[in-house]
Amino acid sequence: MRVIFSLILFFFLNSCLFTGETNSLRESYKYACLAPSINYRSLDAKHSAKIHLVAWAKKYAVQAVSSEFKIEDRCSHTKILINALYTQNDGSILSWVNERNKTSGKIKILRTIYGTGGISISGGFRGCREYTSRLIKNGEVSDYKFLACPSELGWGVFDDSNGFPIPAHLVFAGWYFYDYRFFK
Amino acid sequence: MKKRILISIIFFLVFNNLKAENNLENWLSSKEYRFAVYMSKCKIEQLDGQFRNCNIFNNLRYKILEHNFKLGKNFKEFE
Repeated sequence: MRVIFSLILFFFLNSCLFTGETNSLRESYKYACLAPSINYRSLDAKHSAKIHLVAWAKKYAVQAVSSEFKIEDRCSHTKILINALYTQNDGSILSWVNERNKTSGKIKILRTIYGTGGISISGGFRGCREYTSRLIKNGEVSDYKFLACPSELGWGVFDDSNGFPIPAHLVFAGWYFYDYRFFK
Repeated sequence: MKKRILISIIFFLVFNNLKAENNLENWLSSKEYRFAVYMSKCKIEQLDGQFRNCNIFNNLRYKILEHNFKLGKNFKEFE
């Protein structure tokens, strides 16, 4: 019994506390299947460690008990994300379906920001693309909204209540992904 | 009886894993995968002398590069 308990404890500690990353996220990094919405819980837990330390443990606990999408689904979602961001016009929708896992996903490019909108020295939000991501697993629908920017948003563009720039949720494939929740 | 159930479970798991691996192979051999890996590392020196990532949407961000922007150019030109 003690051995089993020790093993469970070891795997738990190994999976997140020592490395700061979950097994699922490590797998996504390994195969470059990093679309932020489909890795949302793991990335959110990791991201919150950078801004709200109190929320970190809670988010780790939430992602630890919730079931993740399988790696093949994460890769399918990443595939349409790369296509959508680099090649699709505003308003386009790309999707994938996995009948075997009863999962599916969609990405819609909402708009590309061409003007500065009055913001900032180095271009502000220019070149950024807003998109929504819908994921369905066993009939359960989850919607996410992100802002993908080609460069990091700096001081004065996207700050928290103390005036510090909020870090990107993820940097991947030439994009800085910002969670739209923080823009409210 | 137990043996048969065990063999069926093992067969199901192996078959399931093989299918998943097949999907993963499709991704790893796709242009999108190679492009994503390349774009994660790629840096170029822009006209203003600054090194930035190769994402062509940077051309919208910096006015001096704006005329060079064409949607899909990065992906189309990537081999």
